[in-house]
Amino acid sequence: MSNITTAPTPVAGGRAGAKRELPEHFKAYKHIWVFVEQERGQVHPVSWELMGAGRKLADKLKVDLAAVVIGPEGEAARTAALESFCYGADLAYLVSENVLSEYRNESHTKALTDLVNTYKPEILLLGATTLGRDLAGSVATTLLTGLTADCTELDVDADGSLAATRPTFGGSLLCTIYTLNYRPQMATVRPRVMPMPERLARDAARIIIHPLRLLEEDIVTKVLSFMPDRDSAKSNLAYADAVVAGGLGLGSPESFQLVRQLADVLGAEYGCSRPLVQKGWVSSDRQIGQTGKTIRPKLYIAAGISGAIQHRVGVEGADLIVAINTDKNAPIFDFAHIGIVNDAMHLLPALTAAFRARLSPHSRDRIAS
Amino acid sequence: MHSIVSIKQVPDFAQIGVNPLTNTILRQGRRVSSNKTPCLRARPRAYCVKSSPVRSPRSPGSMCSAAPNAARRCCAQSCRALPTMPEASQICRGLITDALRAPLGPVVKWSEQEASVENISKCGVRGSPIIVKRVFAPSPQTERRRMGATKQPTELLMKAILKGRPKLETGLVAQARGL
Repeated sequence: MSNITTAPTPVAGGRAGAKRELPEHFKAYKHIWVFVEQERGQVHPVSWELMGAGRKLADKLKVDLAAVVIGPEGEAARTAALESFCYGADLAYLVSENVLSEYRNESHTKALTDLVNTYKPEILLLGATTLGRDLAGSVATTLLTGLTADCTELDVDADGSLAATRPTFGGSLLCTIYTLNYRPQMATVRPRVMPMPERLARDAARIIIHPLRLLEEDIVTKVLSFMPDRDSAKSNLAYADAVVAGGLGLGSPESFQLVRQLADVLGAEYGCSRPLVQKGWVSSDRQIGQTGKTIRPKLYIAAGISGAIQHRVGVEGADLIVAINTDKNAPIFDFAHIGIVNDAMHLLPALTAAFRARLSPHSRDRIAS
Repeated sequence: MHSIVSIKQVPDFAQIGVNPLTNTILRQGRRVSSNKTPCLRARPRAYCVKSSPVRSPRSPGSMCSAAPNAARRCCAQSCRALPTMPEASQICRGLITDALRAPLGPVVKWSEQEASVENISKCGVRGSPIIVKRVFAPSPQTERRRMGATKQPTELLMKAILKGRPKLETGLVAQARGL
């Protein structure tokens, strides 16, 4: 804990109305950073989504957007740094050493805190993945700054402060959080909450290579082996263009087949709401919502899902939400673009047949239109 | 070796109270130090934070971030935070004998000194570097169409989905062919 410095005295009482009084030593903190998460040479797409969000903030604040890449020596980390320019970064910081080949909290925290203390960013964004959450929490603690987890919206206020909005209390309320008098202002965002920016081929810009003074012997945790999760590749829900999902309104596990059949015809992924996972009808990697996957498809069809707020926060990014429910007062109709009050059990097979005919290569309707 | 499980308190759904001064949800209970980090006197080897309380899995993000925070504060070198996602583990219910024994179990309360709290103003909401400026309800969808119970809804629904969205249809055709 020797690297934790003394924190400024906090504001007492009436915190919601507190004004920004940034201590002098924080005034040098400028620019926006996005942590580019990569494991085994693969960059997590959430990093590019964040780069898109970071670009907008940087343009508003008229500052630079920087990518932070932490990884082992070799091409992969450098490629990730170069790729960040195609998603909008103005420069990249690269810490590339073999002690960083596997993610470990201590080594990555040291690398990121060293970078922050040296180059002083004003805003630091990370993906709310398992790795990002672990890293963000310990970096914020070491730097004695604030962290807003799982944000759904990022903006800058008139005075240049980061306004991070996140669901609170299970999404029934939203709150906007500020880190007024500490730097950097840190936030994590879940995958698929922000849209993926367009990749534009751009020439390499500045890459700043930062050495990490850390020996393997100084790290307590050791990675003994790597076991890939056999189930993780099964569903591609978060990145699917079309998703069909079912809820308790389907009545029985057998009826869930109707959801899968429509998904098959549409070439879509299938998913479900939380109660079906709890009942054991569908595996948890198919769960959509706050404690499951966040999705951003072009088309989302929800059959027999009431649309509790926990489900809503996971699907709001869909371009078109179609709700089928027998209860006309179901909350899903408050946020669906197209709602139909009907029994999914009857409608799904008919809809499957209709789409099968329409989407077939020989469809007259499609050729005519 | 000690293991500690942190339990986050969440109020009942029917009783949302927001503190007008701090814009934070009212929770009753013992004081915790800044950033929801429990005051730790022991030096545990593992600090396990279930990302959600047993009955109310509502805010996985913030608790997942709190785990490494706690580990960092209590023992920077020898402790490993183990945040777990709600779906990763099953809820274990104790036996009835445990339930009967529970009220008799000792509850240790620490004073500020015992918990090594140097400055009480850095604890709890007042000690947090973040400030909740605004709390508001999500807004309903602005553009929406609702179709009532009709006799032949299928064609109507399919047309409503595809109307004016040629790209969606082209995409669906391509996806369907890919299978």
